[in-house]
Amino acid sequence: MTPARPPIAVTGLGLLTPAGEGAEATWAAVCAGHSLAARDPALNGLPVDFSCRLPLQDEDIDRAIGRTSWRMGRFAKLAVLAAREAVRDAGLDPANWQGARVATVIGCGMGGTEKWEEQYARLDRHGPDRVSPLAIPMIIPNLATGEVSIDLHAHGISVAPATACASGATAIALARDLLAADLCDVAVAGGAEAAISRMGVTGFWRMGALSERTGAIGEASRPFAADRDGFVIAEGAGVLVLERAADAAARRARPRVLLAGCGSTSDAHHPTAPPDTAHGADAALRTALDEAGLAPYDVDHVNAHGTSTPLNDATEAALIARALPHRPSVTANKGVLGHSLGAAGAIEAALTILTIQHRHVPPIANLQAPAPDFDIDCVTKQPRHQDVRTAVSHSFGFGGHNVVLAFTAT
Amino acid sequence: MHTATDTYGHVCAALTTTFRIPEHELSPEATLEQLELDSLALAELVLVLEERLGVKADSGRATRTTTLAEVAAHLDELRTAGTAAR
Repeated sequence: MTPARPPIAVTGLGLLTPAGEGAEATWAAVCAGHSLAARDPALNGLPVDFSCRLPLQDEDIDRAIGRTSWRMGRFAKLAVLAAREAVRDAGLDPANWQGARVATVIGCGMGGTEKWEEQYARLDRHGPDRVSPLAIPMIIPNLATGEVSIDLHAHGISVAPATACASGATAIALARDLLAADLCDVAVAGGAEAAISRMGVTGFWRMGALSERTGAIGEASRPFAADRDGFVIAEGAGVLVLERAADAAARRARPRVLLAGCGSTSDAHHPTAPPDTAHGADAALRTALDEAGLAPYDVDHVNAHGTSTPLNDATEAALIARALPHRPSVTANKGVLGHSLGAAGAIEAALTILTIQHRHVPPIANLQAPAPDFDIDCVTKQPRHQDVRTAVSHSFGFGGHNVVLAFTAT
Repeated sequence: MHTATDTYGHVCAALTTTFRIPEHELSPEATLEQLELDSLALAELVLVLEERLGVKADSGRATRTTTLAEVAAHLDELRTAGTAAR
């Protein structure tokens, strides 16, 4: 089988997560394997009052953004900072590049929910004159990709996929397509989310999606554990720089890894529940591998979606055991970082890339051993040294969106 | 009680905190346009100042060619009127 598309190089990455600023901080935290969940004063009095927030003050974020920070919603700020890091990491300079050929694709699942709630309260209490003129630009979810395009002087196509918890991965898959179709030369792609708001958290709680382990917050996010009870909401941003491998080679940029294949499918089944058979996720995995010219047994490692919800983890574990019966190592970063919704797919793609580069698989937080009925090889307690040549990153979203990204070592 | 200087101080404080404009760019003669404030920024600035000073400003009095001194003077009139009304 030959790959259907030109190979795509990942030349840069940037991360802003509950572990802090910069890819190295997040890598160190996931390798340490301890949950970053903490009591969240903004959620006081709610049934679930904890989350994984960035360990940065608003003032620090605004100072880093600079003079345009006043007009940005939090999710857009996180996107801009992660995108700057990714572009720097790629050795590219927006002052000199051909901006018309640079695409920005930043997914976002929710948009500025916190701002929506704040402004609605002002409308309700003080009337329409007290609603900020910035309410809309701070809420609409495409403003992450919009602000990134402005910040980077990127004039090519800019789009914000919203595939819920798969948004960041959809962005990377779409960026690959744009490069393959020669619609851009550089794609700045990823996801951003900052939706830890009272209404947002309450909504997820009402669905039964959140862990209610309020008495043991640090143990709440426990992907693939028998006693898992839901996810822990988080915020963050992850951004990659993608280029056709030939273009990266021409400018002597050293790729971190190759994005060898992408599979995107829809369950066409139910708004929020996966089908028992996981046929959509299975097809996404097989498509990604087909595109990469790889067989299932070539997969050394799986960075699972692993939300710590009873249903996702059961369905996903069964899928991995069935489609990849040679037992590749499995990790799930949400144990440490929580679930950053539309950003998670991009953050985990970046961590999958670092796993290949470091030859280290981070452990799943709070997991002693996978639930007995899961026949998968979860990495637990400490990082595992492994020569990972091929790894896949899974992302699934409400709406029945399935995205699998296959990365290979260079 | 307040003074005109005090009102100008409030305008400058909003510009340096909310809008992160460096203090050295601020002067009574500086226009809002020179400070790179677009129409959305002006509308937000008016809202921020209304809340800080407890007045209802005429947003038509803050245009891109308005100087900081003029903004402060308008707000100051409103504050004085507000005090007198009480």
